[in-house]
Amino acid sequence: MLFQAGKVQFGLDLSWVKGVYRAADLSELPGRDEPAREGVRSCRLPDGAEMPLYDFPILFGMPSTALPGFSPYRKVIRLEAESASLVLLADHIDRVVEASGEQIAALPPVFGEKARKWFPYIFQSDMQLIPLLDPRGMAGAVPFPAQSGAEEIFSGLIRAQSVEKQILTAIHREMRRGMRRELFKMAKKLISAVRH
Amino acid sequence: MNTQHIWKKAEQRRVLLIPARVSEISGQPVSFLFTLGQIEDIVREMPVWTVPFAPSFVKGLTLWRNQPVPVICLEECLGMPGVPASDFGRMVVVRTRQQRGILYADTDMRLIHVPEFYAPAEEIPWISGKHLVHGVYACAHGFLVAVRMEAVLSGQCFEVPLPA
Repeated sequence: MLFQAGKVQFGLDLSWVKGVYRAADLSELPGRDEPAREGVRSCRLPDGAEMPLYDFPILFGMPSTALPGFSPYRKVIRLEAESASLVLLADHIDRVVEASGEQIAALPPVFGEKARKWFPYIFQSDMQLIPLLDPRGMAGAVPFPAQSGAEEIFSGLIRAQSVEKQILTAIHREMRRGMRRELFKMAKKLISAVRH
Repeated sequence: MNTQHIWKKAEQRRVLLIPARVSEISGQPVSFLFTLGQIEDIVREMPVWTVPFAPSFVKGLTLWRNQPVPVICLEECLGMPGVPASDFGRMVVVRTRQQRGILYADTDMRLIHVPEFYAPAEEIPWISGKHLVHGVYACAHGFLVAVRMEAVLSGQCFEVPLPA
């Protein structure tokens, strides 16, 4: 899922997204918990759950492109990843895209620990580079540099693609031309079933 | 730091000087020195995507040959005086064994033979990140700073060196 905060576009692994709400549906819990830092406060979701809310434009010191606060035009994304449950306030949600392993690269070490905790990966889409958010790194739920859920998923994706290529190449090499087409279809179906 | 060894190795080669965007030191200009083996490409300025929480000397990422590469301001990284200008015009792709990085540069880069007369600069109070440089040399071209790009790009810039 690609979303915008300020003028910067971010990405999220969809498996972490548990819901999207209008910001106006949230209620703030004033004075409930003193915010640990600017841009983080407590809020109540429409289903009554209370979670820390990360206001991205404020957190990153970026001017919001939407009206500030719980404006109805802003969107709230609820994230749950293992022990990390939180909501983040974005200016708007762009779209959901499919990502292959080749489009994803690790954030280089020169970016430092904090940036790599929050955004361990970079997604390349339409000649753009989009930081991929890891909610567990955000919430401080993973000791750095432990492998994050995203890392497992992305490395799995890369492995799966490599295995897929090897299977198809082997089949292609071994089989007679007449048989190839049918077997190719079968292998593709099999791989697609395993993936899902 | 085995600066002598590094300098001797480079002696037979031509080197690229990228002028540093800092005020002159003792009336001398300051340049970063790279061997040609370190330089992978020189390109026109490309769009840079910022990443939140990146250190101030890391300006973001750019797409070079379809790969994301960090864009670095060496002046800020080494803690050199003066504020680098924002308008450069060129980008230099520098490689190490493990990593790549891109530096801003303008068009007054120079390719020179290693100067015949040079002397290691004894005192370099104008560089706070001393653990990130192989050495600084004074010659007819001014002060030449040989940067340990491996250390910069591998994140050693965040480590505070132990006192000698």
